[in-house]
Amino acid sequence: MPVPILKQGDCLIASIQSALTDADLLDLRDELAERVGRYRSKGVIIDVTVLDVLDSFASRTLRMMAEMIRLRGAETVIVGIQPEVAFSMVQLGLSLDGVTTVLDLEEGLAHLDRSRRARVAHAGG
Amino acid sequence: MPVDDVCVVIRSDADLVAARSMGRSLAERYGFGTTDVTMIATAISELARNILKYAHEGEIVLETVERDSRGGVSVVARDDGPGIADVGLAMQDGFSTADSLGLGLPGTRRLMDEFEIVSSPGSGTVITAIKWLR
Amino acid sequence: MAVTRPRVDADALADAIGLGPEELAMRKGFLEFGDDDVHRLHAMYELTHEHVDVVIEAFYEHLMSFPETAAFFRDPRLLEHVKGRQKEYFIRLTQGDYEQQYVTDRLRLGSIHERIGLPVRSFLGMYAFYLRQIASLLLEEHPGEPGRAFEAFHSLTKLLFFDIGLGVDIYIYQRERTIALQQEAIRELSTPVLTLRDRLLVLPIIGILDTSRAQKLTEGLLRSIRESRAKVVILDVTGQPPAPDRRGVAAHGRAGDRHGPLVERGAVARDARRRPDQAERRRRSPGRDRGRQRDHGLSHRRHRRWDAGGCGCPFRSSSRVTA
Repeated sequence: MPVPILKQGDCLIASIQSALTDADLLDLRDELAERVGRYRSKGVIIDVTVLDVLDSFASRTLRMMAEMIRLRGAETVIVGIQPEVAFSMVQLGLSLDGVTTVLDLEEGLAHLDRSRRARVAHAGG
Repeated sequence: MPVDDVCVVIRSDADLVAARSMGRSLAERYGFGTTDVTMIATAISELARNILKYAHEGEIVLETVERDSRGGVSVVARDDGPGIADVGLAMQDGFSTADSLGLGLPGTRRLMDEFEIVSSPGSGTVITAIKWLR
Repeated sequence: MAVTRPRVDADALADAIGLGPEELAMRKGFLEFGDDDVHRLHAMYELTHEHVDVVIEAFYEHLMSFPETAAFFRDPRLLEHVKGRQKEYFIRLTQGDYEQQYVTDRLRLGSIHERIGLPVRSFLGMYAFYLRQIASLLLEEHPGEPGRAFEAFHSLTKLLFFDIGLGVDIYIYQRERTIALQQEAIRELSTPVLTLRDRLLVLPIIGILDTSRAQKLTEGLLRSIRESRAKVVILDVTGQPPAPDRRGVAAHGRAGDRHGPLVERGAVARDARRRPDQAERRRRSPGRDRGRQRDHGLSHRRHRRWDAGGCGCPFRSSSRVTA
């Protein structure tokens, strides 16, 4: 089942609705990379609130997504990692180094907002 | 509390989702808390993933177990794949991390309470992991 | 820390410590305590019965002359009660029949002493006192036959060592129960996550952090982060002993990171100034601290088993499995 991707201004919001297979995750990765280019997005939010397991493949793929999106000129924010999932990831030794993680969608949008203002300020200065 | 044991055949990545889901369901019904349920499901995901990657086919057997009046869930990951040549090495922390392209066994072991590997080249692999109710 | 320890019935004590018939027989065998000894002790019955009051009174006078031990018997009713028990016990030493009931009675007396907190050295001193008293009584009883007196004394010594064993077992058992209860209480101690400011949490980590407690704390912390939408969490480790379960505290930090807020170990920085030895240890080993992992194998067939004690891997090849 494809993940719905919403466009909000210059941000894309990928809202995962159900458990994903490996193939689904890879599709999401490619879809996001393509759309970031098409819409010239500056930010991508990936909402993983619904995912009850983030294993090694998921964390690798998320890191890869963030990197690909960065290469396309945008910033990625992962939102909604559940406490139990955070706990298990750490036990498993997984890391999301280099990827911004925040609590929820509201935080994610606020973060991208700040980044946008910083960009504008930098460009203006 | 009687809970059904289940065996999930692992042949495609859709089966990974099924195995995780069955594991979650079994653990929840047996009375594990949310964090433990997630740990079990994550361990299942890793073990099933290894089967898929190295043996292409295998099975995950989920059972409830009892020992010394303690109850728990056991996850057995079985395959007829190439086997692990050096289990000791594979279990060494830092050598084969979940993030790398290795087996991720030390991390998986940390998610569970007991962990045993039976494997050698040409004889397939059986990994048994148990988590006990607190 | 004070914990309430439920009383164990004296009859149940023997079972609890594992002092069944086989164990008792083994101990007697070890002390070479046999029928001859039983006869000799029985022969002393008249003697002990005659002198029991004098001996016990002398004994407690001795005890009460030391402030440390006198303190335990300030309550006159307790003192009378214990004296009564001691007199019974003293006579009992020479009544023969040193079986299960004897053991239960001895355990009961030991239990009282342990509960009131009488130190081990004091109750050992008691036995020394008895031996001295009875030694002189025996020499008077068998004038010109020191050999006989010695044999009788020897039998009594064996029995008293048997008793000392029981007394020590009671002390150890009760102490271990107290420790277990205290550990449980510490585990249950719910560590509050404090809201210092809007979206700033403080988690003081007090007490020993074992794996299960670390997990509970982490779960609580992560939930609090979600509820309060905190951006900063301070882990206060000042209360930690010098060699904390680093993985427990560090995992806290990482798990918190995952969840969004920056986990700041500001408290550790403060801690480093006061406890340089802790800071040094942390610097030296920043990474994983495996601790001891014990795995219980479920089958014993030809297989490799992960054993933190060092596994001897016959297959020295470093080839990894490739698909």
